[in-house]
Amino acid sequence: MSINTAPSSPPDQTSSSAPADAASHDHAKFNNPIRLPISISLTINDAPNNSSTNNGGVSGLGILPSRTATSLAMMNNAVAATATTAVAVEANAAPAVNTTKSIRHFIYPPNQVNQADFSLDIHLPPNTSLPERIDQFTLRRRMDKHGLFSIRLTPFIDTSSSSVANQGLFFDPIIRTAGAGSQIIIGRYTERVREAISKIPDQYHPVVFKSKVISRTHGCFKVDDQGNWLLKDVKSSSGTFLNHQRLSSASTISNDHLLHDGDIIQLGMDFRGGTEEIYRCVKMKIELNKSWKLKANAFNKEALNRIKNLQKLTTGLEQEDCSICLNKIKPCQAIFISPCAHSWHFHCVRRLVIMSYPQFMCPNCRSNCDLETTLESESESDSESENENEDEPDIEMDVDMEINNNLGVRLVD
Amino acid sequence: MASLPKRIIKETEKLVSDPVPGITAEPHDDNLRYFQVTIEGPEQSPYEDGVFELELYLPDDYPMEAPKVRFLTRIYHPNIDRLGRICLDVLKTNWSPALQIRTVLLSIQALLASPNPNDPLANDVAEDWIKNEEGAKAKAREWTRSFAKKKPE
Repeated sequence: MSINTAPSSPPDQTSSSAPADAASHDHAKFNNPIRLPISISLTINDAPNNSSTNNGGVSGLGILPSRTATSLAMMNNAVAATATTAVAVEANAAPAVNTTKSIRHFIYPPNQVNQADFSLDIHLPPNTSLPERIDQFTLRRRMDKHGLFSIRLTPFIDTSSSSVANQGLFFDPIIRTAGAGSQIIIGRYTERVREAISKIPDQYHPVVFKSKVISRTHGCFKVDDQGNWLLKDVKSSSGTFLNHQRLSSASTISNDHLLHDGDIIQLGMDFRGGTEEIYRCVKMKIELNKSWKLKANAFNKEALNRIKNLQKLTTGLEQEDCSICLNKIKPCQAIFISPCAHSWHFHCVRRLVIMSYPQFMCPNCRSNCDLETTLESESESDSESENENEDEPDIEMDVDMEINNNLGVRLVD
Repeated sequence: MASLPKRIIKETEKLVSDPVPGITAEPHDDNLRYFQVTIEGPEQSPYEDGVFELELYLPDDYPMEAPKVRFLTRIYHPNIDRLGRICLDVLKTNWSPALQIRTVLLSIQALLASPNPNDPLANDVAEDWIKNEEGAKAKAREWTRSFAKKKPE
């Protein structure tokens, strides 16, 4: 990875072109079922001064075959010349390009052989530097089994603010995976985007939100060959905030800021007080490179064993699998335990819980219980039961349940 | 067609590898949610020695919704009507996602062994059953002989 020091060059093209070249080298031999690289333009290329001929070939949407990606690498770019490959350099009216936002969404395949081949154009803020290179073992751990780096974005709900309006846009957690040198666009969800991404697997989609305070191309994530993730504002109108600090003023490109696990990003600001969903800003928490995936430790396993023992104790039967999906209940899965000590994946039983809440009828033994019953100690109420909630004394408690003897199952006192 | 949930695949495999005695269930080649079912009449019931054909369909919402089961073979039974529809609590209000194809078919077999004329679906059969149980059972035996397949010896 080479860090570009020429601040005037168009960053969008730099970052996209050189890696594409590297990607095309080993794409063919890498037997990945998903065709990478993927390249999408999310903006209409309306700039008259950006009319170099080779640009026309790639401004379309969709997945580029690797050949096209190579031709993309031929795209004019002063910085790409620093890469070892012979990239045709065409002088471009670089400053003029700044008036457009032809930033592209690029996802590269994993494990690029020749690291020198690509240069991710990274402008770090003054007086900062990327972390030192990590050893192969740590690097492996950062990658998923396909050799891709990953990022997860979850809505950051600020529970300290009581007003609903301030909570930001709600969205399902977003996970993206990408090979070294990729650039993931953050922007607004539009019809155009919907079309462009419809044929691409979810994990390679741009990060888009249904909010009008987000610019069409608002910012981008970049990931380097070390699995470092960076965030940049690409001339958004209402700003990108990293841990409450605005990256750049309106309509200016920011530097690339290194992201850390647990960072909070805010895109845009609430408009009209954020009362309408469509005018809400996006607040999200960042998790990088599978850090959210729990590895089952001794405690996790032990907790699950205790639940199994509890079931054996109360129902006399050893229950191995979730009776709804028929799969095993494993450590680190969200589990729901009913007062009769039967348990299921929370995901599987959720609909039953919601359907007649707060009444809950155990699908296994048909005993009824009231999930709103107040207990003297911690209430188990409706949510995902934590693994550690199965302390032995709890089952002795009177949980106000009727036992329907339909299936002849009783609680053992 | 949407992809088949893992649960259905698991159940189908189990039905093949570990079949229930007296019951067979085979998925249709074209639609893996549609099963061709046979149930042997329970011993010491009027349906003894008969093999009854049924169809079973797993709706999209299965296992949150009960499977749809229907007799294809005509049967003289107070809880099964002329169209083969079955009056059984676990197929209706008492369905639970913890039940399976296997348990449903076992329940149907149990229903053959103990008809319940007090909660009828075929009213005429039920009346007959209450008034003249021996006569009704004889008729059930006769129907079994004429409509159901012979149980292989």
